[in-house]
This record gives sequence, structure tokens and C-alpha cells, in this order.
Amino acid sequence: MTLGLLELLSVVGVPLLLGAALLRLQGIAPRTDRLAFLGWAWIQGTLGLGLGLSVWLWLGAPLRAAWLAPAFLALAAALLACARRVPVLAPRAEGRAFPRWERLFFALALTATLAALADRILLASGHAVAASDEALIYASKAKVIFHAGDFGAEFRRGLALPGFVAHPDYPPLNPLLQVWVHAHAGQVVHVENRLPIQLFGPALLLIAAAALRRRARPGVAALFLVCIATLNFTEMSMRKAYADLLVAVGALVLWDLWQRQREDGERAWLRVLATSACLLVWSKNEGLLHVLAFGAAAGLPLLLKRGSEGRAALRTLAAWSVPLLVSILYLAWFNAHFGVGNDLVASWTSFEAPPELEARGQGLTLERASQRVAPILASFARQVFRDPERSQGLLFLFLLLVLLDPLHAFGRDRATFTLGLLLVQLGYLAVYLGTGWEIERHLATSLHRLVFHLLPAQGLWVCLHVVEALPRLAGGTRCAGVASGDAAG
Amino acid sequence: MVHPARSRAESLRAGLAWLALGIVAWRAGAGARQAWGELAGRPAREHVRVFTTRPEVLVARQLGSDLQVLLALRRHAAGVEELRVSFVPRPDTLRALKRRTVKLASFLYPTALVAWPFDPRARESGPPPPAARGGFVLDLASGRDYSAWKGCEVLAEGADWKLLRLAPGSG
Repeated sequence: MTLGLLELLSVVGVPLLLGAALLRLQGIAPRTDRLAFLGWAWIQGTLGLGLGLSVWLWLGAPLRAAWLAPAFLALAAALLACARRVPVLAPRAEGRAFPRWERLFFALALTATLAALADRILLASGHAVAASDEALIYASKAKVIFHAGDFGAEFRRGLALPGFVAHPDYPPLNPLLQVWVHAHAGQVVHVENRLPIQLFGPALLLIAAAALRRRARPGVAALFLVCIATLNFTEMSMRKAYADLLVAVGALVLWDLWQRQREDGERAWLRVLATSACLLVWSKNEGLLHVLAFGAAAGLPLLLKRGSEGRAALRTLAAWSVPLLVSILYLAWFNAHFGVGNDLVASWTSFEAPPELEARGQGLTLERASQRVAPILASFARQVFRDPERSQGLLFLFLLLVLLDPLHAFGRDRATFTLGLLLVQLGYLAVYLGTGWEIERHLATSLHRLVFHLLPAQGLWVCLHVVEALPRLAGGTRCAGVASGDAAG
Repeated sequence: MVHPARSRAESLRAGLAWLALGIVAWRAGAGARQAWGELAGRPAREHVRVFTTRPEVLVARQLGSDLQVLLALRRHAAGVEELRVSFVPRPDTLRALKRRTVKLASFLYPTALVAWPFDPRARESGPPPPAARGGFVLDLASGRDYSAWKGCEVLAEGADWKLLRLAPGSG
């Protein structure tokens, strides 16, 4: 390895401390949810790091860990000092006692799945980042940023190099996290730069474990957790530093926090939701679709509500959307500033397939869209029914339960969740209908990723459906309310 | 007394929930077995390779025979901004070629590999027009004839590659 122990500790520890400080500022402490806290802290910390690094790069400050790490630690300390008076959300109290063997089974499942992901990270680290999208899209952009040292002319030139950075319009969080690692080594590294992305795997498991355990008894939560942990793409994301894992984590945390707020009525969940959802738009363009679907699903019932109550709720939703709106506007401006655009409309790059294979430039016509419905549905059906390890049956179960039990799927507590997941799928369908790429090729290279984006959230949705139908399988925890800042320490 | 229709709906719902749980349990078992088989079946040295192998060795393993290309490029074309790659864009070999160039480009940046496709049927094809420009060329068995370039120099070569320097203004 190029990095020493201290540098590795800094690569992981600084974002975690920054994330913990950001969470504390939002009223969340480790004791609020011991399982999920580290996962949330990783999300918040990496987002804070991405934002901070962006500012750093715009300022043209030296891209060295010796400057960066103390700056972020100082920021974390300042945030913690500001958060002293913010009340901490107390943990949920256990309402039911479960047998010791069942709790042990859950602990064993969580430990084993975390150990398996850690082992996969070690196995992947035996290979340098030099192939596929992880090299072409993300690592290449990180190299351009690191060599340029700022968002100036050199960065613009690097982005424009033919065939080096694929999809230069993709949001920058993944490359920025790799730049964070390069800054610790003082040079471009080819192995350790995966680490910050890979750590979203354990974050996913911790957040999923907490979300499932909160709603289901330990034995049931363990089964769902193993299903999510052994998803084909969860495991693959330990080998390749793709941003799809970040989208899947973002979608899970979005819906988990939304459901928590529905269950407890605690505003702290909305605060964390509003900031954590930024992970979606900072990770991949598809993340924006998730956010829009969430906005539509959450906003629609409020729009239908009449009177001052509905208007007030809409105003609240708009206020919580500020971090997201700022992120979306900044990222759109960033791409416009550097003259990069979505690949669905950009021209083909060098080393790509010959242009005659592409169906670009034909424009979106109804006829073309209608010709695509059959291949899209056939590919989607393959994802649902074939290759069970790809979706572990979660997509199939989600669709089955929505179809056969719509009254409960769209019931008072889960209507937004159900509608949001369906809207994302419809959004993906619309993208395929309008794509400028040859449809079979586009489906073959991307559909499994798009399906994965929703699977952890769909796993949580199916779990909720099961425990609502079979209350004896429910977790039986209840909210303990907000403790005072002083009491919480 | 519970209405029969409601009771049927409740039963259906419970049945669906048990079915869902059954499928999840089945997939969890299958996933765990598969993960165990995949991870436990590997030799111990693979799990700790990152701690026992220097990064340069990992890069060398990754590149295979193309390590010689990388070394030649670093020896003869270090610091060069742009290096043209001459290749034949045949659909059946394009994917492998792309993998190869992505690997090389990963370790070469900030030197950029610029595609210079060669169509044997045409006299010349594809951007950039090289006639007036010199510079370094990595030829991947394209069959391009460099004899027209005065002062063309072969710096290194292997089984299916050649590193050349073309004098500007020739060709």
C-alpha cells in the first residue's frame, strides 16, 4: 500500500468526525441510534468533505492532507461547539423483549455481513483501479482534479481530453473522495482511492440493519439484512468504485428517515433527511430523479390538502428542500461553467463503438418510443424473474405486494414511500424511452444498476409490509422523545 | 363479528406476507451460501495481497504484457502531453482495445492517449490529421505505413505494438 496507517486513519477518521459533528448539530448523537449512527456519519462526513474540497479547489489552496485534515478537524470542532445547545433525539425504547438466541442471530448476521464486505474490500485492493467505469468515469476525473490542483484552466483542459474522462458531467462526489485519498499520498494512487467509496458498503449495512431492526423483530430483520448484503451489486460495489452504491445508500436513507418521521413525528429526522438526500444529487445524475420522485410523492398529498394546513406543510417541505436545491443549482452551474453535458445528448467519444451502432440524432418521436416499450419491458421482466441473486426477489416482492395488496401499499403510512419508489421506476422507463443510445445496448449496460439503486429501499418497504400484516413479527420499539441538550451531554 | 370479505382480505394479506418472508429467507440462505463459497474458497494470500504486495507489483500484474508498453512510454515519452494511438477500429476487437487503452491511460495521466484510427481501405481516416504534426505514436498493430514520415524513429517495440516518434512537418 502507498498510504501508511496514520494516513489511512485520517482518510477514514476525518470524514467520520466531521459527519458526527454535523449530525450532532442536527440533534443526532450516537445514542440516538447506535447502529445507524456510523452510517449516517459517513454520509454526512463525505458530503461535508465533498463540499469543503470543492470550496478548497475553487480557492486554489494547496491540495495537501497536511493542510486539509487539520482544516476539516477544526471545522468539526467548531460545529460541535455550536451544537452544544441543540437537543439530542433520544433513542427508541424497546417495547418488547425478544429471545436471546434471536438477538444473537441478528448480531451474528450483521457481524458476518460486515466481515464479508470487509473481506471483499481486501480482495479488491489486490487490483489497481484501471478498468471499466471506475477508471473511465470516476478515477479519471479524480486524476484530472488532483493534477490540476484547482477548478481552473488545467481542470477544464483535462475534462476536454478526448476519451479520458467519460461522462464528465457526472456529479463530483466520487472523484472528490478519491482526490481526498490522493492528497494524503501526495500523488495519484491506484488502490487506496477506492476506500472512501467502498465504505459506503458498511454504511449501507449499518443503516439497513438499524432501519430493519427498528421495524421488525431480530430474526426477521436479520433475514432482510442478509438479502440486502448479498445483492449482486452490493458485493460488486466492493470491487469497483462506482457511484451506484452511493445512490442506493442515499435512497435507503431518504426513505428510512421519511418513515421515521412519519412514525415518530420528530423534526430531527427531517433535518437529517434534508441534508443526507444531497448524497443522491452529488453522486449520480439518477440521484436527481430519486429526489424529484420523492418531492412529487411527498408534495402531492400536501397539494391536495386544502386550507392553511396544506399550505403550511408545503412551505415546510420547501424549506427543508433548500440544501437540495442549492446542491442541484450548484452542480448544474458547475457543468455549464465547464461546458459538459449529459451523455444522452453528447457526441460519441474516441474508442467508443462505431457511430453506426448508435441511434443518436433521431430525436424523440412517439414511434421510436413505442418501438422501445417491448425491449424495455422484456429486460425489466428479466431483472424481476431471472437471475434471483441480482435482486434477491426484492423487486419481485415489491411489485407483487403493490399489485395484490394496493390498499395497504397505498395506506396512510406508506403511500408516499410506495408512490416514490414507483415514480422512480417510471422515471427510469421514461429515460429509456427517450435515450439516444441504441436501446438494447443501453439496457444491457445500465438496467441492472438502476434496479440496484432501489433494492435496499424496496427491501425496507417489503419488510414494513410484512410486519404490518403480521404484527407478531414487528420490532415493537417506541419513540422516547427528545432529551435536552444538557442532559444529552 | 368480522365481515367475511374483510376476513378474506386479512387472510390474503397474511398469506402474502408469509410468502414474502419465505422468499426473503430462501434468498438470504442462498446469498449467504454463495458468499461463503466465494470468499472461503479463495487462497489466504489473495485476502492479504494488498498488505504483502507493493503497489508497483499490483500495477504490473494488472497490465500483464502491456507493462512493457507502459515502461517504454515512461522511458521515452515522459511528460508528453498527447500521445496518439494508432489502431484499426474493427467492431470485433474494439472492446478489447478499449480495455487496453483505458488501463494504459490510467497509469499514464497527465499524458493523454488520443485515438488515431486507421482504416486500411482508406488512405487515411479519423481525426486528428497527422500530416503536419509530429509527436509520439503508439501503434497497436494497425498496419499503418509510416515510411512516408521523414525522420520517423521506432523507439521501442513488442509483439503487437510499436512506439514511434514522428518528426513534425513530414508525412
